Amino acid sequence: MTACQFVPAYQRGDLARPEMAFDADPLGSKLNQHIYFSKEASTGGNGVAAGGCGCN
Amino acid sequence: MKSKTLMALSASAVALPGVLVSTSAVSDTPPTAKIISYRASSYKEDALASEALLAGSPERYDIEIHQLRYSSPIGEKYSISLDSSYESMSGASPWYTVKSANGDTKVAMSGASIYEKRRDVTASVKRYYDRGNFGASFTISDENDYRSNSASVDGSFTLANDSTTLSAGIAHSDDDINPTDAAFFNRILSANKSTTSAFVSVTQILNQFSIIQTGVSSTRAGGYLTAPYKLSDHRPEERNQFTWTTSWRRYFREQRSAFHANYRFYDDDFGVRSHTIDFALHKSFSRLITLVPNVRYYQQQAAHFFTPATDFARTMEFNSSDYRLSKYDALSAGLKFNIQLGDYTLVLSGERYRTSGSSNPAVIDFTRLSAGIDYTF
Amino acid sequence: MGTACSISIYAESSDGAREKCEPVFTDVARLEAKYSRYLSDSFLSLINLAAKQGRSIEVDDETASLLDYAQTCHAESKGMFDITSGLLRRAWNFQPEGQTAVPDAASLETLLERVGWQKLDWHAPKLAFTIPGMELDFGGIVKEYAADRAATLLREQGVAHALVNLGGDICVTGPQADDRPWRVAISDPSSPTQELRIVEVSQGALASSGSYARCIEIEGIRYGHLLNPRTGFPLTGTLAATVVADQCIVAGSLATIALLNEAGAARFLKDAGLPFLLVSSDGDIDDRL
Repeated sequence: MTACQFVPAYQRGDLARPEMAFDADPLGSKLNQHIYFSKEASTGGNGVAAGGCGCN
Repeated sequence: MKSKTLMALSASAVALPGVLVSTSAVSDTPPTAKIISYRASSYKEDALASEALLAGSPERYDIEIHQLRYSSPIGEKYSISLDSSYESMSGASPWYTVKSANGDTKVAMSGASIYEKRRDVTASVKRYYDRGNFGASFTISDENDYRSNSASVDGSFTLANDSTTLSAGIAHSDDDINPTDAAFFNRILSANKSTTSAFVSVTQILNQFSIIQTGVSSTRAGGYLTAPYKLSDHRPEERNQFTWTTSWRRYFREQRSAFHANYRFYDDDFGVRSHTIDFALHKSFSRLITLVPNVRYYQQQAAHFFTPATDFARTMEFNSSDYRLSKYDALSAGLKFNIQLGDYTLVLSGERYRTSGSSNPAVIDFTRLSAGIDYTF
Repeated sequence: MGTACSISIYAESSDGAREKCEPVFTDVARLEAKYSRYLSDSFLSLINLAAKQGRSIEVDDETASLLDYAQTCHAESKGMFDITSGLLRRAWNFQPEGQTAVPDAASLETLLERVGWQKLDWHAPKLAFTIPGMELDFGGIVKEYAADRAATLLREQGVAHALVNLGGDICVTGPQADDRPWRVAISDPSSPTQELRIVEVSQGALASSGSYARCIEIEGIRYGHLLNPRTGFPLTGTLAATVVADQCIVAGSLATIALLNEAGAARFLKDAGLPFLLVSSDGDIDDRL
């Protein structure tokens, strides 16, 4: 990977695409995190926790 | 807030070759549109293999989940979002595990189908500044035997180089557990669990197509951490957890695709150490259709106090034979399909998750299907 | 493009400046050659040959994006912005001064039958003409598109202080070298040498719609050169519009659609939320720049 290049504002079009977001599907991520939380022993790694539930 | 006409023309304009988004410097602004999203999902676990069933029902969980979300900018500097979900679950779950005479592990399942509902609501607000933002969020989750209240705050700040962003946040959750049929089954009547966590992360623009984020988090959970519905399950009253996550996003213009890669390292003082890696490719066909194939690999170590057979005699201070604390790995693959029809986007997705390598046959395989719609206005 | 083009640029040397403008001149010439109505070997002429014969033609990515843009304009203007409506100009005789004859209903009717974006079958990359005798005209969008591309070409070479002016369609890459904004003069549509207003621009683009040179005069009343694609008659109400936006093509389309809204021009531009200036046919000026 090459060193970081400064990207001027007018070239950030591709980075701004919705499919390039770190969380491109908030509802989908929330569902996945909930399912994996209740079935696996690991949690977190997605910013702050949004609360617990009785599923684990 | 931009008008719909302006948004439509602008989107169409920047799709023209050589026409750019804007001359203005990078600044943090709220999203421009209001969105309402709904998803309905069906989650079905594979039944327990008959040779592993000692007693009870082999039918595992069948869960239906409905999610609703509303997000909107408020003026030029704020945005809010409201999320709610409703789940209804039925099915049996593992109660205890034994090793039979010939060394096979067998699982006793709970009897009749448990029918449960869970509801949750989250409200979040974000305040935008020139170089960053600040947010707060509250969540309540409620089911007949478990109630959780949590709050979090987080903030982001972009450095003068306009390419590096620092983020941090803290969260706290307070849960009340009131297991059903507690007296009858000699379960704890009422208990409390408290969790605090914090994270910091750095996001860096690498070049005009590529961006990377890495962060760590630390969580401490205290109070009643044991699983109340599992027989002879005794866990410590404190659990410290650590994660390190790195994510990469890369856009490929010729292929009209965005590639996502995420890796998480997890470690805690229960002895569970895990690695999670997932990939997704967001590929656009025409301007309206996107297909997202994705794959995830997860591998965890067993908790110190995990035993393949339930420790009825209480020979150990802490013990659990809950399959979720065993050593195993899981591979899942999924596909998501989005199609845009005017202001509406239709979303369909599915995922198949399979586990292997566990000493406990109750470890889960599941299938999930979701359908939903987003309305932008 | 049929109009004067100029670039104002701050660079370290005049040679350096000229060098940086070269790609712009090349690109503008390229777009002219590709989309000119007047050049028989332009790609637009090829499209119009297929249109005349009621056939179909495959277009490249750039043309496809322009057609998509034209489609968006058609949708956002409730069908009034229509790149197939150029045919209607055949019914009118544009005179710089003096009376214009009102065309007879029959000849207008014949032309109107061959006008209408909805009569096209556009699915990238294939453009199909279901009825023969139609004609496309990119004149309403190519000049502004060229201005946006010009600004990009300059920025990609590191030019942070330049103004591109393609016949009144303006796009800047940033303020003047000392961070002062550029000062753009908007002229009076009825007497083009008179200045109506000076606008300060440090980012984005500015474009105007409304003819100063070509207009229709019927029974002593002056109309602009924009025709209603449904009736074939010229529009009334607003003579000229100037809009400021992030992209020149967006500014230009909004100005044109405003005029197509006739008396509703001010409402339309207020809803869009951008700075604008409108000159109505009775001489009233609505200045919200």
